[in-house]
Amino acid sequence: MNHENCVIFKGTKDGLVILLSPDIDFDILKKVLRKKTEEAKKFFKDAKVSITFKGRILNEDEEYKLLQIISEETQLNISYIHEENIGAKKSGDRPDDFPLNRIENGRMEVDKTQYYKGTIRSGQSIEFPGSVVVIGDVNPGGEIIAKGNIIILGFLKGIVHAGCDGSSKAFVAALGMRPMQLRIGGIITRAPDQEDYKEGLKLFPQIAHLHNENIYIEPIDHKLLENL
Amino acid sequence: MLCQQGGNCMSQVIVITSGKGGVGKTTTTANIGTGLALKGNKVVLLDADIGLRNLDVVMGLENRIVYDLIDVVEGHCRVKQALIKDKRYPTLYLLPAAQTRDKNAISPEQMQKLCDQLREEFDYIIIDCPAGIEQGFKNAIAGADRAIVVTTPEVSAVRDADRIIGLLEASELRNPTLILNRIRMNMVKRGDMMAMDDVVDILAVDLLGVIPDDENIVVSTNRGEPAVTDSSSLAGQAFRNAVERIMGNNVPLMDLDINEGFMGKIKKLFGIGN
Repeated sequence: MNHENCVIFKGTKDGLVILLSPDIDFDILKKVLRKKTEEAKKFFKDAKVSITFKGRILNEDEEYKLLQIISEETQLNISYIHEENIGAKKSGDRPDDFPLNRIENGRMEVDKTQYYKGTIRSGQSIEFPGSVVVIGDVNPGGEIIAKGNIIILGFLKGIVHAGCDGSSKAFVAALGMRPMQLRIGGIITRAPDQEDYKEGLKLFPQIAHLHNENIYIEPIDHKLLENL
Repeated sequence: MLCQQGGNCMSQVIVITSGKGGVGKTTTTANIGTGLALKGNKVVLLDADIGLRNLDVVMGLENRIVYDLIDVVEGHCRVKQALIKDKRYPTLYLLPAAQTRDKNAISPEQMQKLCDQLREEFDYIIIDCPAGIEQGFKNAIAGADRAIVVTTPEVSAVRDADRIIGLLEASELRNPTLILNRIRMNMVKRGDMMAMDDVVDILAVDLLGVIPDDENIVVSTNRGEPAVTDSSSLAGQAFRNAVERIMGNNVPLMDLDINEGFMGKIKKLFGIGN
């Protein structure tokens, strides 16, 4: 494999795009970047650019190292680093406590799971010292409080509290994630305000999990599952 | 009492409830009850809203009340003495509530006993349930076989209807049917009001009828003549259709659009703004 092509510069109207190969070892990548930036130094001069890294997901440390190389080797005036739209994530970047990571060989053992068939209506409350699966919707005003995980095969519009005994490893998954309030462990959050009422009616599977005191809600699509 | 051969009698006790106040329970009770009576059924309307009785006013019978529900339950009179026969519709009767007492004056058990007594005489017993979820509600549903939930296409009303349906299901009154009241198709088309499908999706119950917002209702309430008797009233027609469905006849939902459009055209013709 030709290592030379693991770093390719591309100038666009938005700034400098640096295409990085996702497979190659990071140290080799750094060497190639250093070589290429040195070669392109005269071309760049002291232009003011924004930089976008594409093709490979970098963690903060890696990104910093690459930027350091660029600033060492060139006189580029970096105005800002453009965040690449996060679609696929490398598995290495998923936090270890990402709930679906605990599923080894596709299997995960859960202490107890209660299934509930039908819609949870306003004013109804399900409390269970284990995981809960609802085959139906959770209407606004309805609540589910579980020590374990909560999975809703329908619209979540009510209040859910997963990991209610303080456990931060629990997750909440729903086909339509629009909770009034979502709590995992000791953290409370709510869904972002709906811009379009009709958009809110579409089913779009998502999973909510806790990482570093923040609740992340991500779509469950083939990209997420491929990259676990 | 509809008796089949072999003495199998099929009276139905239906409670009309909503949770939220002001969505049209009393209006629905009056119209559905009168509609059923017009079809030849023997019907009694029972006002369970003790302390805030309205059914007698809406039916135009308030000046004929001598005895009420609490008098019957406390033994001051017989049921027949308290029942008011409507002179306009020969098979329709009203059992009014008490105005000077409150909802603690009767218990669910007493209510159930009364309903069982009424079953012997009537084909349909329609109970007007008070708003709320406390004692009044518990009393009203005690003797019922099935429930009709009334709601308007507004988030607050739908939220309360959802709550009420949950409570009904918990009391073994499963599969309530829905009356969607005061719908305004022009607002639905603009996206300013919830559509029929939106409400039914959230509540997950079968639709009994969709009643358009109609000025005739205000008029008919004030006159004490239910709109179901008025052939020019759209709401009245919608109630007549709902009555057919209760009796088991599958009537398609009224196309409320056509009428709006027609009236809209007429109005435009005469230069009358909407």
